[in-house]
Amino acid sequence: MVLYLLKRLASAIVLLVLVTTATFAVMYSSSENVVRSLVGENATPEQLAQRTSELGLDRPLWEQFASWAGKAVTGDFGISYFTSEPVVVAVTNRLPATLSLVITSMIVLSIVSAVLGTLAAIRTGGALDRTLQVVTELFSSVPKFWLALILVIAFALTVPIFPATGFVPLGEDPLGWAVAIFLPVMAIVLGELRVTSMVRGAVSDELSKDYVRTLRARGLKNSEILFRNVLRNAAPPWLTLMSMKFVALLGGTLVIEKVFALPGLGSLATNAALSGDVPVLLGVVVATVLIIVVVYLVFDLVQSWLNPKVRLQ
Amino acid sequence: MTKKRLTGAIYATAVILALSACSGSTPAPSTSSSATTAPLLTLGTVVDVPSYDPADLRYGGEFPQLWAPVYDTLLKLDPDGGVSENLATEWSYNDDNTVLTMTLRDDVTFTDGAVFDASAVKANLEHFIAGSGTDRYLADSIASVDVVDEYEVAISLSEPDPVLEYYLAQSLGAVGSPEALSSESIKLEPVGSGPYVLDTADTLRGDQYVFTRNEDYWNADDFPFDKLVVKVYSDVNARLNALTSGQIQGARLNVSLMDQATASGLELYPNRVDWIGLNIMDRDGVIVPELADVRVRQAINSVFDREGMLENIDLGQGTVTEQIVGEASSAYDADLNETYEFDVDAAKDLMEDAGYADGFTVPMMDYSRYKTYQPYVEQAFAEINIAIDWIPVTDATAVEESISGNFPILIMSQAAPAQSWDALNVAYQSSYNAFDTVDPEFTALMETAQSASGDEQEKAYRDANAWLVDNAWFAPWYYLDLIYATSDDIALEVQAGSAGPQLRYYAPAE
Repeated sequence: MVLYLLKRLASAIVLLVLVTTATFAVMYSSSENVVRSLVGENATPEQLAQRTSELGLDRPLWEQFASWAGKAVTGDFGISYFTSEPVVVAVTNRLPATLSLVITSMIVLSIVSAVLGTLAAIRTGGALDRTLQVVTELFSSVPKFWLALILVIAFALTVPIFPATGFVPLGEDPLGWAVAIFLPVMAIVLGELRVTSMVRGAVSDELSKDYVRTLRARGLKNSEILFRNVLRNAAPPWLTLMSMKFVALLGGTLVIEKVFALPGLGSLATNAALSGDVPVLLGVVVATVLIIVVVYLVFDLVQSWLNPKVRLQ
Repeated sequence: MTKKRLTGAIYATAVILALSACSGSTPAPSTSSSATTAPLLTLGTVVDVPSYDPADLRYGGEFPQLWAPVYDTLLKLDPDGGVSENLATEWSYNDDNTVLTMTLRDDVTFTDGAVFDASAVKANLEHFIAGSGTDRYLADSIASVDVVDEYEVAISLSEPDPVLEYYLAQSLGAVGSPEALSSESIKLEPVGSGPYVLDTADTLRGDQYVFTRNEDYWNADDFPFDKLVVKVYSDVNARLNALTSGQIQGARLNVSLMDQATASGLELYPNRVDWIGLNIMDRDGVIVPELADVRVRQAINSVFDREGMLENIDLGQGTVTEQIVGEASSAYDADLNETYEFDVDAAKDLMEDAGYADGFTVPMMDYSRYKTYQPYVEQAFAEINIAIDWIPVTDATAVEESISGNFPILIMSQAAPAQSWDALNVAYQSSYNAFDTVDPEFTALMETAQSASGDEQEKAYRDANAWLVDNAWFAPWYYLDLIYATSDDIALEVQAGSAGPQLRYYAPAE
């Protein structure tokens, strides 16, 4: 186990170095434009040079990267060019909204997809199965932006049950947090309902296997067969898909953040990329890579627990 | 699931929904959950404050809504675009307008206990001049700042500056505690003498800024709200939804959302802030020799259906113009808007007279900000055989490219303020005279306007404006309305030519 974890850590470090180097190289090629954005079109060449020097952008690229990397390993990711905020503060302030959105959506999606997918598989061809197939395809085909706006119009403006915008930290007001996050989570979950079809397929495949008939012939109850055997065997592909969904959501919440004005990593990263705020963008990249590494590790550990045949070494 | 469990789940859901509804029809989830009985003003902005260092403050658009709560200014803007006393109670120029002497209030302290006096003003202006903020150019004319006595300061200029007083009502005149100016922390934790104090605990950079009343402020009557929350919304639909649901009480909207806003019961305040059109920068024909001929530029002015563009692109929200000065400017002359009629045949005649009936090709920026207007420009230019070579630029490079001298003609929107000098300077000393075109006649008019005062100055402004229209250095299409919307519990007085209403002009509706 220790060796396995060390190997994962080593590959995470390699991934971090590669991603940050690539990001740095792409973004720093336009440093003069960034400085111009900071000092405005009326700045003199002297003022442009002054700000360039203050930001350290007049140094060779390798020196700038080495300086950034040297500080980054100590936890200092620099200061945002455009907000003057320490990058660590900016990223950690944005994490609660993004993680709330992603984790809550994943939990709800996991429960909904597992329950509905299993029910549909048990009653294959029935009314529930056919209804679910239509509904999941319908919602999955609709752009998340449109889904989000419809939810806002229906449940925040027309019938004002939920807030139209904003985020409440969980620690500040749990009920307020739940109310604020409800519509954004619903927009994501409804848009990802296609996962239900995957569960339906996996469970249906398991139910058709010989060992299930054998277990029934031995007199085991259907519920016992389902929960002890079928679902356990159907879980691995579902888990793999959910881990990929988590990673995709981590980088794909921008549209939801915009509609609901959530202070998340998606909007932070997008604004940083568009404006050339390299320190912030690098900070987001590092945070995202670390989260992805941890997420995949957790899912791998769960997979190995579900299926003892999966060996970590 | 058994029937009992299902019923229980339904009841639980109903309780949760009921509780959330009881928390208020317009919950404000981003503010503190602790109750407050003081009146609250919540606004939405498009922009975010880059830094609270006074040297980095920006005066355009809605930026002041984020720093003016904490930083008071030497002078203040009036609704008609003029200036009046604020931290400075009196001011006057010497005979040749090169020294501005200001008398200051003697009853103001900063929130860290430092005293506001002439030394503080000197420290702030010198700090601003030493910086490299976006608004640094506002101080270009200041040569030195001297303390005359404890509450009197003299600002010496290298040359007369017709808009210095206007700038002293903006970011240039924002005053922070001199004891905090040199610290790094001031970028995030402002120390001013303004009507409010930034509540850093409830503030989340880039999302919301919370201000509580400064109990020691000398002019509390001008600011009726005890608490101010300013939220940043980059998405205009989110802004409208927040307004409609009552989460915020004021924000800018796009013209396309006016009908929705009106249907939702919001109050709308159209304000003519910018002009939009073409800046024909290559007047000397450096890149496109044909543009050096005034007839070519006049032909360009004659080939645009301004009324049609205003109606089709911006839903009629604005008014046609052929001038770059604002309607509230003393240089504005309504008759000048009749100079160029929409007449393609006349434009073709001009091109033929100039010897360019076959047209030419001109490179222009393909820029997302003006994408909507590009087809209209292309179509209009095609009428007089001008072909456009669209060169893509990104958001990050657009500012640099605009003033690079690589593009002879720009599509641009520019402020059309009440201050004539500010408007006309786009053609004179601004970076948007990217090819540094100098015309002796125009220069003479601007030099007269710069050093004169009173009627002589006003005449020079009017003559300079008329000269620009006659010589077609620009091809403005129309003034564009910016739409500011408020909830019906707010009374607002907008300032002419200002995109972001000043905080002192918000009040509870009666």
